[in-house]
Amino acid sequence: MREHLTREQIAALLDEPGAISDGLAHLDECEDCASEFEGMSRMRMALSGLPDLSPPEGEWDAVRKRLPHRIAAPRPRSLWATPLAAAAVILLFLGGLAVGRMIAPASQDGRNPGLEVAAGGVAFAGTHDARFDDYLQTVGRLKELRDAGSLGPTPGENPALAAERLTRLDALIDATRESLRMAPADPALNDFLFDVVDERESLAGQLDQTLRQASMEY
Amino acid sequence: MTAVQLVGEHERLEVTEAQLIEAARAGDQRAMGDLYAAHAGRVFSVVRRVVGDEHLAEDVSQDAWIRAFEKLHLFRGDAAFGTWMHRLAVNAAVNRLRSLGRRSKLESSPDLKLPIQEPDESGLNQRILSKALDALPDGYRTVLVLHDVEGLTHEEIGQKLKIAAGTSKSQLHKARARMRALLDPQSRPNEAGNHA
Repeated sequence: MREHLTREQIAALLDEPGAISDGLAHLDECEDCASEFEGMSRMRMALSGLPDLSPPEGEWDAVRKRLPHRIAAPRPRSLWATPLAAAAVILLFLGGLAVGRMIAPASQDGRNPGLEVAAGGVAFAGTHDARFDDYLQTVGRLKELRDAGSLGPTPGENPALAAERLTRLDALIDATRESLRMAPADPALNDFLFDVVDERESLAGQLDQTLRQASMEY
Repeated sequence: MTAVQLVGEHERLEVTEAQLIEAARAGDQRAMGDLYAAHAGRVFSVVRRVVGDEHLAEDVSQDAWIRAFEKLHLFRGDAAFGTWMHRLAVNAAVNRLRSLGRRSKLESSPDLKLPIQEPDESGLNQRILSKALDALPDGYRTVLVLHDVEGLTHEEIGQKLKIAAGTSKSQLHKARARMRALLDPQSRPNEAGNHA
């Protein structure tokens, strides 16, 4: 007597044939499980082929009506910007260069299809592969550096610390933008910029709220 | 660089996406409209599929575009505008689900079953597939859409959802199993059984 595979096990076999011990051998012997595997493969294929949907009618009009008074102007550069920007540019440059060196010699003629190494950054044409994962890890390390104190202590509810971190985030944003000028198509740098901008906005909101509360108390 | 064709009353002008972005940054709403037109379908599709609800998707999609134009002065990756916008749309959808703290639809509708669908020549019926996606719990649907529809890796999904890559993988397997149960509930039991 032999147990059927569960649907979850079959789902795992779709991506990793070795995910379940003797899973493929079982599919060879068991018609029911093989049929389920086939059905799940069809489902995955159909999902990957789903066409783009049409946006709702009138969406652009609705967006446009909310636009005019909401477009933000670029922020002025802060006094912190220059030294910190330079440091961050170097950091990003080295990260990109290291990955570029690691993966550039992949083909015999020295050119790596789907990969362009730009000054200070890496732009990927084909993304979802191991090289891209390596690169994401490198950028992940940049994020860790950011979170590990390079921007100062976590502010909590201390307005002074929050203001200091805000200034440093501004510098990091400027630095990342500088890097993007060198590698404008780099998705990881775009991601990084967005994360920092998100954090900056969130922190600015918190700081604003804290200062308002403080002013009301007095 | 993507070229976008603008057709005016008496002119036909070809501009690059970089030029559109530059103009949009300066507040040119026509340029914004052209950027919107070039990417709106892609943005709405990912938002709609992640949130699993038409009305919610309309709201989130609009917010994503507003946010994009507000932040356009920060965007320097001209050739990657589509990637940037896609990421922004996914984040907007995921954050909205998180902020709503929505309970899963299946938890509140345990008897939900879809009719069995035989695959036609073009594969599974897209309408039924979309309906089944909407019926999944939010967490399952998000991972399934990001992986099987949008092609993200588990590492990328993990970063977006702030979960481990292994958790994403496990959620994906559960989501696929639940989808199959919805699409073809009578084909086999959920748990392993014994061969006769």
